[in-house]
Amino acid sequence: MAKDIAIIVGAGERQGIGGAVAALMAQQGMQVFIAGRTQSKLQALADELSAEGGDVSVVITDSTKEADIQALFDKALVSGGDLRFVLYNTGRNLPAPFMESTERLVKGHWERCMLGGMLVGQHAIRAMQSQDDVGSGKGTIIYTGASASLRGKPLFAGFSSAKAGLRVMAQSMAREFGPQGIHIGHIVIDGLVNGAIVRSVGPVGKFLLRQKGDDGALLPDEVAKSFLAMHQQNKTAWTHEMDLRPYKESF
Amino acid sequence: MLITDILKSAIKDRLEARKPRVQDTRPKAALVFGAGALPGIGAAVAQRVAEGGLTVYVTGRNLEKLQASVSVIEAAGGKAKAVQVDASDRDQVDAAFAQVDADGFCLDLVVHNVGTNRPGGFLDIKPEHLEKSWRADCLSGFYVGQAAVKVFQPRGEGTLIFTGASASMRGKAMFAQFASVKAGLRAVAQSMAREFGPKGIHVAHVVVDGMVDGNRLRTLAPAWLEQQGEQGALDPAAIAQSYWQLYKQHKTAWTHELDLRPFKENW
Repeated sequence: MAKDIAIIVGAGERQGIGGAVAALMAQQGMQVFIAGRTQSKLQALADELSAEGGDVSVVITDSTKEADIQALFDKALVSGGDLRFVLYNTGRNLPAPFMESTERLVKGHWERCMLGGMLVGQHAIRAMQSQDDVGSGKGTIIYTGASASLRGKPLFAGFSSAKAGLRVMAQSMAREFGPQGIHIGHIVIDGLVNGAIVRSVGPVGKFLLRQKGDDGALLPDEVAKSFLAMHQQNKTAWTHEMDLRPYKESF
Repeated sequence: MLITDILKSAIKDRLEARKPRVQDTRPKAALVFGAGALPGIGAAVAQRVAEGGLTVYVTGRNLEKLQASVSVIEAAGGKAKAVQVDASDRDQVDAAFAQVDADGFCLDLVVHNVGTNRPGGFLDIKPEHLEKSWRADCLSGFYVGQAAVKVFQPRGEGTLIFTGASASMRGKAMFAQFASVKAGLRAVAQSMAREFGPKGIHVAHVVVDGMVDGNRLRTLAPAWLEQQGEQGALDPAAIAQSYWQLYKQHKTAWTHELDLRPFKENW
């Protein structure tokens, strides 16, 4: 029998939420497809996880393009296994003053969060609907949220509007597809992630991490455990939304 | 609170933070308030916690029910003890905490699973009923919360989980009384999380948004339960798994609030 399939849209380096969730799903024995824009990062991630015994494939994907999403699902589902887990983990937290927010910028946020989230959700649901229920449901689709999903702070009008829109879309999907046995989750990451992104910005990242103090930023591998736990929930007690933040985060 | 009070409290916190953490190497225990109903959320959480290796103290008002809960845990190879407690009585709550310590355990997890969902028309609510409900379901949260923090704070660790309900989030017709006390409890949990999270204490609130396939429903509304079909109500053991998951979370990625409902629930 073909292995269960997991698709991670928005994976980059191993030390990030997408990378950590991909690693955990591979450890569960799933066939994992990692989708993102940067070939070199994805290949390095796939190589690392494969070396640990994981079955991981790279699909270069622009999540805002329908043809790319179609190709991603076509490729992932070719083995005939069941699609049990999909993570939509894209979005760029770019600050911009409200008066300088251009249509191009706002549309970019909307495309990365809502349009891509909708396209991936539709493809995932179509694949999952005909599958068997395994106690935890037919399959799980999780959207990564942020503090901005719940409130708009100064400089984040564009990002917040897209993230808030995605959150509500996920909520509508949960109400429509929960009764069909498809688990839709939204996980609000409410803090700084101690991963590749913050480390990539050099002194600024170092400053941010130092400011947060010991254990003051979310560790991707610890975050991933909650994604897996949500996926494994028995369908009589599903979580739609949960928050995750470091213990010392002010919220 | 006056500005000077806030400053004093901030200075006190600073001094407190400099104190070395107390190490407690005794075996770990959990204390579950509202664990009598079998099957039920409290009893299932106690079972899950005992399975995880903690000694669990189950408390509630009815000793006979608690003993039944203990028997189930012991039959599965776990360690449990029944303590009769009315959570709306501060002395009884404090005594339960004192007993865990006197028995030689390090209390690491406390669960407040207290609350009674009694629907009724708004005009029929009597002040004494409202007060009783508030004392039992909301004020008990302060008692349990304060006692838990006193134990957890010197060690700089510990988990406190409150059971919420759909009524914690919104007041439906006929639920003015229950919703008001549950919403109050939710806000207590949120305030506590913000105050004590940075001190290493994990405070979480679980919104149980559906009917639980437990003792209450089985006795009061068996026909309704039947009508929901298979898996239409929350399985207490499945709920308990999420409580356990919250307890095990690493402190860089804590959840304060999560919802739980059956897949086919209309919400």
